[in-house]
Amino acid sequence: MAEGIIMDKTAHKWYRLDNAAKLFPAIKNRKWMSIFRLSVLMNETIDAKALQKALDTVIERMPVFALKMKAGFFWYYLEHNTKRPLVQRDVSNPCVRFNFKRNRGYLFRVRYFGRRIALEVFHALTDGSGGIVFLKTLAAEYLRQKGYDIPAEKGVLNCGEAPHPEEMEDGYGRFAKLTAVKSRKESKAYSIRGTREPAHILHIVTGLVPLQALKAQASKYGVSITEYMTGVLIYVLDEIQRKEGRRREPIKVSIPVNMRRYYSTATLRNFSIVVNPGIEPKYGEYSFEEILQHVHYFMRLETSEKNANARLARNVKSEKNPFVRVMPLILKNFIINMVFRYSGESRFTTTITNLGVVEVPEAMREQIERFDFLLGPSRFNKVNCAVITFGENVCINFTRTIEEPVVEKDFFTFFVKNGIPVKIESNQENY
Amino acid sequence: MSYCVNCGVELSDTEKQCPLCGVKVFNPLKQGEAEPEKCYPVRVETIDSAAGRRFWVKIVSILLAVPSLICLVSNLLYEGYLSWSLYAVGGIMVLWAFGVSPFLFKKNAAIKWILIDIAALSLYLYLIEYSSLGTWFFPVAFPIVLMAGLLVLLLTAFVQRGIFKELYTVSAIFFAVGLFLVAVEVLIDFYLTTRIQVVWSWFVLISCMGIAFVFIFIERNKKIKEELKRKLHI
Repeated sequence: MAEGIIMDKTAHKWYRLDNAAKLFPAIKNRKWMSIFRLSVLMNETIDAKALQKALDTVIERMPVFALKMKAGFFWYYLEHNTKRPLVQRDVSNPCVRFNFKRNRGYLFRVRYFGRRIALEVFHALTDGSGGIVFLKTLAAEYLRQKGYDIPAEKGVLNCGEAPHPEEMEDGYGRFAKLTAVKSRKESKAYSIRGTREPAHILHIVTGLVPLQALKAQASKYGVSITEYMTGVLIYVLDEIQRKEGRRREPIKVSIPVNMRRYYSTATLRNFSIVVNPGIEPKYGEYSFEEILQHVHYFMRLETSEKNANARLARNVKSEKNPFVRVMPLILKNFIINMVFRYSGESRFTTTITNLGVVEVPEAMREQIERFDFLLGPSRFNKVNCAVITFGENVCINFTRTIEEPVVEKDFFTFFVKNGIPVKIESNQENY
Repeated sequence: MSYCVNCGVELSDTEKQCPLCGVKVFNPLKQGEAEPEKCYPVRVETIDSAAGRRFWVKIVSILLAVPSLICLVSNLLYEGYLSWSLYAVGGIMVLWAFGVSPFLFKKNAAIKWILIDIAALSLYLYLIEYSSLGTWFFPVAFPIVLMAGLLVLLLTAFVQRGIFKELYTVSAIFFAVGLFLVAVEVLIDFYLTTRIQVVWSWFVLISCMGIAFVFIFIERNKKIKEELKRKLHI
């Protein structure tokens, strides 16, 4: 893949979807698609013109985002998009399904409001790790437009450079060891109950937590921050389910694992797998400590390089199945939809994703107040949680498609009861 | 800086009530302060209903209208009056009423659908009578269609409003079928012989009533109902 070809807009360069991305266009529907959002809160009000200029520059450097999706006979594929992506004003209900035509074919959109720049991405394009590189590079370029001198370091790409071919690669295909695969079989999990809102409504509750306080609690139990938060989530969900008084089902939380931590690749496309730690209430009552231990050891075992690769290989293997490959797209979509409906989201209760600490160049740090990460609605599950840390601020975003904020309430009050201060904000004003 | 008195979380200045528990924020020190900077804009994005149901209703309607028009025109051209084309056009109309019309409505679709079906079926039967020069439409066909339609309409309305529950619905259907068949026989007899004699329909009526009473009995007896559920659950 020569660099010249990527930059040459007249050449109709096309790309296969990566392994994870193949799922998302198949399961999207008229009211929903899988979207996540990353945003950065600056210290000054955003200047739309400068932002547009920055976007024009960044899209040249990151052709992996300058794509549109097309349907082939057997698979969807990505094609170079020659239109200019335009910045948009933000809305109070993020992550509404893309209208690709109105979005000029793009699978992402850049929005601004007040001091915030937000990036919303259709999951077929990339995952959170790819998205944060784009947002950081965009924010850096925006600050350069405003007269600051920002070096290209700590994950900010150099817009003067040509794009690197490795950024485009499918990590799944490259790193999957297909010698042995792990079964994907999982039991059905508890599903949160609540009053469904109309499809376009998304309630956001943001909890801002000091990193040190959270770290102190997690290390008290000898677990990582992600494990601690997963433990709290499972604990409160267990309580919620018990109060319902019905037959109890396993509580499982889906956690994406970034595969870049095992394999060195510069890919800006999807490269993660998910594991679903959880508890089975039929085995008895769990104390909080027990739940933490469960999550801790499960994570240690399941996210070892060998186990993670066996999971990844399972996904790649089903994509490589000759029967699947020769199936026409329309039939494939139908079957993937069926499988997703009966065994996809029903295997976990909710999702928690932790993007970790965002590093930025020193010169940028003073201009930025915080980063936000949030997941759009799931197709069937009702509550999602996304976490991102910048400096001393851990930002925990709950998004839900039901009226009742039960999970958030129990989650954050658990924090408060355990001495972790929480500051809350939301988008409730606008509904 | 305000705290929720119920949850103990600190609340951003933008929050007028706690997003977690709904308790109103009241901070006497913050009365009359300037509106804080909002976290989110007011603009709400909606989902376009673009290529939705209405679009497909239009497409299918046009696809059905084309052959109807061809039939009508060719019939007129070659015979000078409408004869066989009425069968075809009527058939297509009934197909449209049964298959396409329910997608026109969002609310009360079932009731409206049944009303349209009654109208379409009656019209079609009238067209058949008209072009085959019969005399059976008003004395027989129309009352039967009307009766069947009204019964379905009533049953649907009752079930929708929750007046009939569970097995009572089943017995109501059996009652309706039994009575309907008696009425059918009466109408046909009256048309053919102008004398009313009930010959065959009472067999059906009595069997239907029997079955209906069995279902009522089961519904009223919780033990038997539970037992049947256990043995026959799917």
